[in-house]
Amino acid sequence: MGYTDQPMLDIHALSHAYAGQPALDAVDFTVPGGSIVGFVGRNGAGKTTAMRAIMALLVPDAGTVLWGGSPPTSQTRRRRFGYMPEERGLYPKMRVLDQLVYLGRLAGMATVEAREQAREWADRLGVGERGRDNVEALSLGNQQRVQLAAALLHRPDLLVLDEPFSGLDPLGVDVMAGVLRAEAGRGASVLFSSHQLELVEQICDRVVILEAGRVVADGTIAGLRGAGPRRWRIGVDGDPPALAQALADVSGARAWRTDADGTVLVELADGGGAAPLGALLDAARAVGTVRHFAEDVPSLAELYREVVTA
Amino acid sequence: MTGWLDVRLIAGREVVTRLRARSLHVSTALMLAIVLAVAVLPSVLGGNGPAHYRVAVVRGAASAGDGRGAAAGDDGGPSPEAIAEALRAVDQRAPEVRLAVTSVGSEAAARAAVRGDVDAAISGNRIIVDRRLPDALAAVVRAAAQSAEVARAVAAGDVTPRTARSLTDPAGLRVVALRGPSSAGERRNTLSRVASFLLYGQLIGYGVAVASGVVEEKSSRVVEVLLARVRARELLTGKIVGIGALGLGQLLLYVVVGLSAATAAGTIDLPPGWLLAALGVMAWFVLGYAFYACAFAVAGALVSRQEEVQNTTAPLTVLLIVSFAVSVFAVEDPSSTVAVVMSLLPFSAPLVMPLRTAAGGVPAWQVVAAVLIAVASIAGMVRLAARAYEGGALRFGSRLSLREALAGRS
Repeated sequence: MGYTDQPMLDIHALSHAYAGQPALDAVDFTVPGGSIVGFVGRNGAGKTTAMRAIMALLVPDAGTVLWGGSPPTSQTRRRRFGYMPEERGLYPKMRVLDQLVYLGRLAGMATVEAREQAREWADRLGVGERGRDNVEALSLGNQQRVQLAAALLHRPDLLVLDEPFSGLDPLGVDVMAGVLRAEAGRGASVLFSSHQLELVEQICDRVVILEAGRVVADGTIAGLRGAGPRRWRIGVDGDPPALAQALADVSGARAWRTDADGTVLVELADGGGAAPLGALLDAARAVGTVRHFAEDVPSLAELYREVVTA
Repeated sequence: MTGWLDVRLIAGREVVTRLRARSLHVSTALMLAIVLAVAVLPSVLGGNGPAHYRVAVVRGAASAGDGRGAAAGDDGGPSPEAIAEALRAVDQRAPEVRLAVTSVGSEAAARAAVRGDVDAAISGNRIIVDRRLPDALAAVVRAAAQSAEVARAVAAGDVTPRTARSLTDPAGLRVVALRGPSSAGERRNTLSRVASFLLYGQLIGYGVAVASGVVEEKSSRVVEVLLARVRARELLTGKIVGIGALGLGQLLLYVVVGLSAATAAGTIDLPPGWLLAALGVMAWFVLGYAFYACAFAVAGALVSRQEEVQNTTAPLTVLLIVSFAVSVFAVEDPSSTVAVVMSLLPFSAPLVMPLRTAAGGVPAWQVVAAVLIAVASIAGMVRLAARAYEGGALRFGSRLSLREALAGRS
């Protein structure tokens, strides 16, 4: 199941409560080696808590975090995991490069190696010229680039990034997305949380949707789509209510929604195969000239809304 | 032992970034200026030009109190007026000494004048001084008395064996010091006061530095990035060790510069055992800092913003101020009950015990007990601090109670 021969991150039955308020409830999911997994869910759904548990920043009430089949040691975490917390944090009065070298060394790198990587990442993320400036002198966008460099410079096998896209301008988003793809390309596994579902859809191999501390969906985006009923969108030059009525009468189909542009979304019954399609097309023709007849692929945003409000 | 490697890295960062901070340079320069001023100023004010002295002579005072002086009766010894005259002549002849000679009506007036700004008063065959007669002035007064006596003997024409003796030692002048010279103990007390002030300043300054360093990492949220890499205990240990090393180094600088400058300028004669006392001050700084650094770290871990840190550090600051006040008082009365008790308690011992030991007369068991109590309570404080820090470092927002922090991470 692994994308590469990298170890898999396996979260098993993770539960945690803050002062009696449950934050995670028996959460299970995996990050296959070398994959990019998007972690989606509304604020307070438990994403940050799960990520902190992975980084051992909190001790969960129950459950296990496994890396390649066994609990990671603190040495494994510091050397092999890269973490970017939701609340960005750097020493404001420390120079960019000094700070990166320091954090690299704390991640177990030798000084020379840490220096090389710090310079390389600063250049790559476009903050190379600011290396001797204090962090506080940088714009927030540039501080975030430094933050990303801090999470990456020790070449971790697992990246845990809490809202890496938040607060970035469109150019910054492109840089971040490029870096995540490149990191996965070199074999790292990536788990990141985001509210920007279009981005998650573009970048991720898999999605885990969390709602009120529970996993409500987990799989590839294609798999999540395939799990729901198939929908077709049909439009004609004619009266939309008449179209909806005509389509609803076709056996094995039901008119599900009429959108503002006059097209009607039809949901096919499970197991019906392509059989109702001919009947649908005939019914549409009877109402008017058909200008739209296509399968409707739901976006992640739509899937998300459905699972979360179900 | 990656743990110690981390501690060294963390401590190293503290030292390097703090050494680079302008505020440290300014405060060190300021403190050195104060230390140098205290050490050197007295001798600078003394100057190298002619010495100026004020001498009062009691009119008509009879030589008395000494067997020889009494035996001389009304025919022995020069008159006060003759001595005053000779003194004025000295002022004109000797360029290195400038004398202002006045005459007073009674010995009581002379004593009052000596307590004021007069350096010495001559009353009959006694020279009254406040603490001690400056050597230069002593020589001048003896010379003046001698020449007055010679003049009298020549005028009287009675050169007898007794007057011959009185020519070389006129009137048997002897020094009567009202308060006596400052003793080694007093010199020690002066040094103790300076040491106590330095200790207090270092403990409060570097304790607060620990608290605000902890808050700096919390308020900037860098602590979460750090704790993804190192354990909370290592982060705390490294911070305390790094800041403490800086504090100890600074204290050492003050002591070495202060003592060398004072010795070079001749301001102080170091009392015996000064090296041991100086080392004791260093050792007590280490113990006191270890105790207070842990406490200040807890105070920092309870809050998330620099504006709030004063609220949680205030009780510790008060504790230090009270201990310092007791130490000031302990210099005067080192064996009082309050001083003895405070020299044993772990929070005040670092300020009070070095002063008591410098003054001497402290039973060895008390010193040993104070050190043991300090070490034991530091061990307890380290555990408390580590636990509260682990519990509080990642809890942001409103101020935590100690109980909440100790309840651990969640």
